[in-house]
Amino acid sequence: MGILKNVVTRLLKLSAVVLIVSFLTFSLTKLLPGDPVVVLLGPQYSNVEVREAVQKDLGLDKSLPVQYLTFLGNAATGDLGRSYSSKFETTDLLAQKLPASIELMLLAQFFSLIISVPVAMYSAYRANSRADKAITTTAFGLISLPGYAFAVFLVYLFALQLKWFPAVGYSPLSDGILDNLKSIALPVAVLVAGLSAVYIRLLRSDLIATLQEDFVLMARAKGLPTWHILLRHALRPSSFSLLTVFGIQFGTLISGSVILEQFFAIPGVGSLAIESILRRDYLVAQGVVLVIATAFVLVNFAVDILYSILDPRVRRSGNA
Amino acid sequence: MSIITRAGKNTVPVPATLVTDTDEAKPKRASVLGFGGWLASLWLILISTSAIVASWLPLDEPGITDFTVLANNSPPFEAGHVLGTDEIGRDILSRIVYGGRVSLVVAVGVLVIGMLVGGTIGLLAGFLRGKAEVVLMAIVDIFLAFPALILLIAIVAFLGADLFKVVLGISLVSIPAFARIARATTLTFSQREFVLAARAAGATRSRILVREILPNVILPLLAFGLLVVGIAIVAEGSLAFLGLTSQETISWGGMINGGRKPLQLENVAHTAMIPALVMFLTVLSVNMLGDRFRAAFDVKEAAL
Amino acid sequence: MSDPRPGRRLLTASTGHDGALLEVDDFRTHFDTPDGLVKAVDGVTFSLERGKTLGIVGESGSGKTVLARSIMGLLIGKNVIRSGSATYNGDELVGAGKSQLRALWGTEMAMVFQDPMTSLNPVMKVGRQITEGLRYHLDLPKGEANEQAMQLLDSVGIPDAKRRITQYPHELSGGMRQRVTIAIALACGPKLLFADEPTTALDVTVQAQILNLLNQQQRERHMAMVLVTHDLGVVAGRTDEIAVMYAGQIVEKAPTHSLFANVRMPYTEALLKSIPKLEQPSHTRLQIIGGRPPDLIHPPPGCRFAPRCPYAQPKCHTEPPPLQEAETPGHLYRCWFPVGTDAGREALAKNLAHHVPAAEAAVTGDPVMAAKVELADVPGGGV
Repeated sequence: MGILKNVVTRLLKLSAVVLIVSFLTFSLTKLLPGDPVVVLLGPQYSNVEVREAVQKDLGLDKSLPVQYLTFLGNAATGDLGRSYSSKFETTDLLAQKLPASIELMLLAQFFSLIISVPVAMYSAYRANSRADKAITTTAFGLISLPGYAFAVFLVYLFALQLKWFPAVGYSPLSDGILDNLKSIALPVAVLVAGLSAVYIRLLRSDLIATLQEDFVLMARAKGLPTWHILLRHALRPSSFSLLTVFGIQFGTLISGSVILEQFFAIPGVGSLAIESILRRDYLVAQGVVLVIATAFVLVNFAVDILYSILDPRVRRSGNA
Repeated sequence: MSIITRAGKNTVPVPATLVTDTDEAKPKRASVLGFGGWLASLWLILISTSAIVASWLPLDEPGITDFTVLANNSPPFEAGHVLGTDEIGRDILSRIVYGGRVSLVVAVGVLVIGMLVGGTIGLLAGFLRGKAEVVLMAIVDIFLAFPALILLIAIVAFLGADLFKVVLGISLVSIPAFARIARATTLTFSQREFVLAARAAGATRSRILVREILPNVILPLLAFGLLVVGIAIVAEGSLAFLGLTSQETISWGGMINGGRKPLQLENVAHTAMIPALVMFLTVLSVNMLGDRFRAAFDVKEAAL
Repeated sequence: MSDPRPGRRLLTASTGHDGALLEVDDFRTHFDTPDGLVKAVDGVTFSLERGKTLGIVGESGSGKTVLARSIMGLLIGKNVIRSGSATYNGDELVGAGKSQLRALWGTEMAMVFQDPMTSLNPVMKVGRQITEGLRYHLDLPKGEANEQAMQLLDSVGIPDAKRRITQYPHELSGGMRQRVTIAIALACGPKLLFADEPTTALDVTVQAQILNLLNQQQRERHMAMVLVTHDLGVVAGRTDEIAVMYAGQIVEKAPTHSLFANVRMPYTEALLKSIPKLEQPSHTRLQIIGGRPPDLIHPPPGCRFAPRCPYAQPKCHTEPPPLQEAETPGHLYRCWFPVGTDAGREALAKNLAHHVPAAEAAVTGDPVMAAKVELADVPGGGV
């Protein structure tokens, strides 16, 4: 029963946060300088009748609270407006850009995980050895390396010198999987480098702490082999920080890879947000930011719940 | 020395259970900074001093295209430009030096604003507890619930693109993190006995806050602040890279952006690589220093 | 060395021949630290047969825990230096390779640790923690392993074993958790059991139960058992032999009744005296031993207990006493002026006449005196 109460409380908090997020998103675009009607009409703006007609059409003549509620209502039913310039529906635009972002995110997370876990395990097991010191130093360096800087190096090495991958451009899956993979290899590599560095540091330090515990000594005294102890005894209690951050990254990466999208000219969700903000395409910007922020909040919420399920000590008592 | 057995009071030096090759038994009594720390400090001093005295240094004008050079993107050590020229013929070395100004301003600004505002919020929340804490932390949590980069971009788009506004925007986004750390640290300290002792001696709450708790919170907060500075520099670079900051400001991020086309389309590397390298070294140095400080004051990231 | 993964075997050790199972000879364990070489165990000798129990008693810092773990070979780290000899069934443990040792752990020798809350994996079900040893060492399939686990839980006195198997450690009480650790230790039928302060972390009411359980299991399985503790009360009546450790050395070793009846070494006498007895009137002062345990990096020359000893004479401070045998065979002690002898009595009288703090503290139980012993120990802290 405690779990149920727990979930309900969290759901309430979640709804509150989503509401506030939507409000912030709404007000941000309202505060952005420039009148969308100007953008839309151009020279016709001076024509009062046309201007008022457009304003009425866009609902801009209503009071702010009404506008907000309309916005919420529309968003809830899936109507996020349309772009002024391209006339596409925001939802269509999102649908276009989502595949690339999701592909980047999934590949980056997947490869980061399969790299970080074994490396962290080895590093923790041989803590302070030369190999470990090399690993931790590299991780530290990679964390300090901004994505776009690393991208420069990678492009120089792999695209220009070795010519293995294209330096720029995105080839969608529909054009063939090999080309697709080649075109995202470098951005994924940049993401993987940054993510792995963080994951390795997290997991390694938790593992080292766990390996000092008495129950690990006990497991050794049972005569169990090292790999078994690392995998079965040490990994699970040490993985909580990692799993939390890993989960949160699903939310962050959707929009967070915007820099790389720009660098490699990949049409993703983050770029959509930026471009629409820069072009003062307010409706689209509003819709995209709302979706991104809500997804982010939902992912955090899911990770929170998962965390409390995974740790059996927490499961029983029903609170974190 | 590694682990202490659970046998209780006295310490029998029993080494770690599963960790082999542990050198922990022979800790090198290193100075607080260590070799890496000294290098990092040197680099940072170099960058900041050159940025400050830039106008007095014998540098080319960073904004002016050199038309005497035959082609743009001339490589380093040619035609009187130590680091070469960028995509429209401007001297890279001087742009690097002037670009350091932006990073410096960002660093200082974020540190000051973040610590002042965020630190105060966290300090009050952690000290006053009760309703104040709940309300303050709720606001902080809401801001943390927003994806930072998007928020930053939106703020900059709203506030404007000049340097001052950019610094303001980055600082605003960093305030929640400072607040959380300050609160966690305050909580740890306010439960220690010396606070209780001060209370028992009749000190007023504000006196305790200022005299006892504040000095203890500042140091870990500063250590954390250094890490934030690294992130802030990268963030400013990101904004410049995306073209969201004003065009007149010289920033390393902007330089990398400018070097993109030469890199990807014209096979010219140095225009982007040099600022990328400089940015890497700077953030690395800041992180190293922050790490040493953090080790010295034992701030746990888990406190976040 | 025997086959690392023995096939099916009997879980209770067979009642085979009774030679000395564990022979320890001049065994030392030193730690190389930046402050110097810590001589945690410095020359320990004893032997143990199957079916017998050896109690190792000492204060914190005496080296008893290090001794147990070091004999098993559980200590790792570049700074651990083991020397001397410890043989199990004739096979040398000192210098043995990791896989050789691992083949012994669980199946031949096992350890029960002090705090059952920390020695059990908090996120692993209790049943699994028992069966993993069974499945790895004995190749048992899952169903059989679970059966065995339930039987084991039964035999250590945990009711409702079927349900307990699926529970996590935090769902059990302290006493039950320790029973589980005992079940785990005994799962693969070891012949030698180390119990490292098995009851220290438990409630007093539960302590006797656990000790009885250990004794019972030892009898049924004909195991050799080493019971490490700081509490003489724990070993009285439960051990065949007791070795008292101080500063890394055995200072007295005797069959149990002989130790209590004819204590020879002043440290042991002090330990005995410090146990409060029911017969004493209320508000009787607790006897304490003044001073602190010695520095293991630079132990005192001569007898290591001398700075705190009521009987100490100048000779004690300069010449380390060897282990000598008392009149009762098998009773060894390390002292120049042992308790219960004329030499000892004279030494004590002399010290009292000269107002040596350690002597006065021991006789009168005056805590101020005892504190002075500590000061006398420190250079410049003179009385």
